[in-house]
Amino acid sequence: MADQETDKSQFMLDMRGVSKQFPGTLAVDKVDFQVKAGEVHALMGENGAGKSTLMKMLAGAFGDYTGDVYIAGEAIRLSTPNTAKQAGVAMIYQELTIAYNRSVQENIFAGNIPTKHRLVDKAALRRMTIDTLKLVKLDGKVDPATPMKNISQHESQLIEIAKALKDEPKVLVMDEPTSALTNDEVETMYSLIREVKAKGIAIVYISHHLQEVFEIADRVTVLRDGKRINTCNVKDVTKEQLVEMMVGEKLADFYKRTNKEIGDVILEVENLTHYGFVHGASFHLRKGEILGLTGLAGSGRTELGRVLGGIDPMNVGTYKLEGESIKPKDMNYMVRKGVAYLTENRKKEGLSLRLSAQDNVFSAIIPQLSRGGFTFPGRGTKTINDLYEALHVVPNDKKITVSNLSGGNQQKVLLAKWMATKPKVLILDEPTRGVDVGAKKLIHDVIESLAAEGVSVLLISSDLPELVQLSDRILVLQNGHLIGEMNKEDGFSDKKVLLAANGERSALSVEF
Amino acid sequence: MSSDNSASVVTLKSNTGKVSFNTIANRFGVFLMIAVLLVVGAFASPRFFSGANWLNILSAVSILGMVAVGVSFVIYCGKYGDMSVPMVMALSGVISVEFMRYGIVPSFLGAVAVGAVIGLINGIVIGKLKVNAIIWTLAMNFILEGLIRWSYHGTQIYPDMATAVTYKTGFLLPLMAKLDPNIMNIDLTMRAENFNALAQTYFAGGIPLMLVVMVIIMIIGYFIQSKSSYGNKLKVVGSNYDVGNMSGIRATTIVMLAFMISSICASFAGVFITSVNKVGAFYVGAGYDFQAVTAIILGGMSLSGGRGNIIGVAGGVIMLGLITNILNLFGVGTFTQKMISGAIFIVVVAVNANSLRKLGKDDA
Repeated sequence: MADQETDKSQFMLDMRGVSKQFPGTLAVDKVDFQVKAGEVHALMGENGAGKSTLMKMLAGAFGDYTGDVYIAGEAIRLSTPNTAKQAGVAMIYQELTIAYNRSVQENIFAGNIPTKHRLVDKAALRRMTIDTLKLVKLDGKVDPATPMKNISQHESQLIEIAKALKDEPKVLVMDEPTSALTNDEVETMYSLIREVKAKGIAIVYISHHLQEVFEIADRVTVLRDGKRINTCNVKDVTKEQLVEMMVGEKLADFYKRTNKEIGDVILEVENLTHYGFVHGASFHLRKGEILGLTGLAGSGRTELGRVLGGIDPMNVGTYKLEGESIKPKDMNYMVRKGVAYLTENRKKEGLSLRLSAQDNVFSAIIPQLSRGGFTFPGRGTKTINDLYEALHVVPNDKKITVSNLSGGNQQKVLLAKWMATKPKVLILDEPTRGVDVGAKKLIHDVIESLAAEGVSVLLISSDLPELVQLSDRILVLQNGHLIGEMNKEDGFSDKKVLLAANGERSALSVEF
Repeated sequence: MSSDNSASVVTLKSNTGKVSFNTIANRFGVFLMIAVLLVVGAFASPRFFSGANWLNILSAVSILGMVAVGVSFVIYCGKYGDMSVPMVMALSGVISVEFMRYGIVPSFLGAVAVGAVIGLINGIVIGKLKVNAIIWTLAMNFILEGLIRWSYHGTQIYPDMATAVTYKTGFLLPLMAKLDPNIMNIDLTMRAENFNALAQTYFAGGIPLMLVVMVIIMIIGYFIQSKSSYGNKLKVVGSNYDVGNMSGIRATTIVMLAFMISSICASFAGVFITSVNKVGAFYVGAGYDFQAVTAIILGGMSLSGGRGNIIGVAGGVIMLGLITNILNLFGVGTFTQKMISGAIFIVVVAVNANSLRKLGKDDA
């Protein structure tokens, strides 16, 4: 016991054996996580490894976690966001929490604006804001009365950090703080982090970018499938070792894939550009091929898919479908041309949750079901029955409201909706996000059999095993540029794909 | 895999119980309430169940019925309401009086054409430019009110005296006279009688023309909304605009057409109400916007869009007619009735807003 006491005091943040159970999954499984005062501790892991659950727990978002948390040696139960804040935990989220129409000072002091005689004490507010901005060296650069909407993304982030620092936190959590920054701004951010660190604040740094972790972090903890895999000093590990920890020793996937026919080029784009997101992308897709697309968050993979599907504009470039030059002017046109885009955002853009499964499946093929202006749902009965059989949607009730289906079955309905359009090119953006293992396996099988039938698939996924298992080739996208391609013949692995996505050119088969 | 299946079946059971109850309440709720009102009506007066009283009830709501069919397209499309209905009715009425000198059919065509143009403008602004529907249609309502009152110098136009008044005050008749001077020589007495007779035309057994027109509009509306390809697209767009857009449906066009349908229906209603009142004036359509929304929501259509159908709307319309009739039979005064109908509107919208909040769409 005494041993533990001394142990604890060494750490500013000490989480011991914490777990969080969600229906169906143990998202965080007895994780020990310790951060010393004045250290930058990187937290890494693939999507779904449990990073965000662990951090939400720290922010007090869950009242029902198990395990113990000590902050500066004191045991504390982080049951509400307020207790977490009182305990000295400050969070900087990737998505900033800003009221854009209010001024800098109002944003920083939202909720505790100084008053005098029940009115806002503007002089004090201004003074306090300038003091706060000093923490991030923005005093003199940003006027406290400027509306937030006129502040750049970088400065907004700094202001968010200043807001966190003014409460003198003990633990500062930063979630992908550099994801929207330019190189210079990243440098500024690093020097700021070093200063904060010098004040003895414990910093938790969440990032997908290996490069950053090696640059700024002192120690790193890797999570996988909700478990802590390892914690080590950054200077003692290599990139490859870290990737190994994140990905794990995967059992060699024996794929039953037969040597299917890959046909002629069906889709070919050159110099495709969507200003600000995708620059000069050129590639081709063959009939019956599954082409993977990898890249870190913010690399433009979703945007590329959306341009191909006719949702976002193609500002520059040529787009050839079956040898014919076309303009992807809108989605209606592309769907009729045989290009379907399955969104990564199922609940917002994919399914209308309040309509029945049948209405959703038919929503993209209303013209095909109609004659003379009238729609005959009966014409689609065979299609939907076949799709339900292929996808094993449970329950087999086509009139059920989609919101009553589980995530996996919703995703199957979404896939059915696009399969019903009988596409030639199917763009799948995160086709198995948030689905259970069984549904995932089934969706993979369906994708493979679609390809075997001659449908060309562009698979955008952050799920590495999925990309590796399904793809015939993998394109690598970094900061909106296609940097290269990986071929199946040279061997795929989760590790290689992750390294490639991080811009490691040695992992590529072909460099662009 | 098996555990996953059983889990989803369990969640399903608990949900379907609730859903089917909601479905019943939504789909048949208004007819249950009508049944209750029938019982109350029986107590109100022995005359309640007489054929004459029923024709009275139905003809009293036929104008509301026409408006409600149109507005139901707007609500089905998730846009909460069309506040320009009262003035579209008024303007259509005025136009129909002006065009009456050419005959009844041109009078209708002129009114509907004007309605369609206003609907098109509403549709472009709301559908393509994504302006808030309530605010825009409200503004449109004021603009049209101003237009009518300004062009007729605040006077009303009576069909039988139309020429004398509108040549002096209006701008349409002088324009028409320039094109065809003979127009001034047409004897309006006969035409005016025909126009005023629109609302007094009865078929076998005393069924009013207005009622027949309402039923026809409802039947056409039902087929467009529930059976046509347009209606199916409207359902997807109405229940979730982004999903509609991301299903290869041109959502902006769909929204635009919904507002056009709303205005065209209001135009039909406007011609009839002008004939009923025997006067064209800016105020004839007052209150029909809110009454239509009340009837539609009573009929089980959700303010969040994509739910309900015209059968329910018909039920809602009849129910409002029954309430008015029963209150009349009980001898309740007009002002009290206004308060009661206001209260019904509040309750109905509050109940609907509550279910909207549960859906996470609480900007109604």
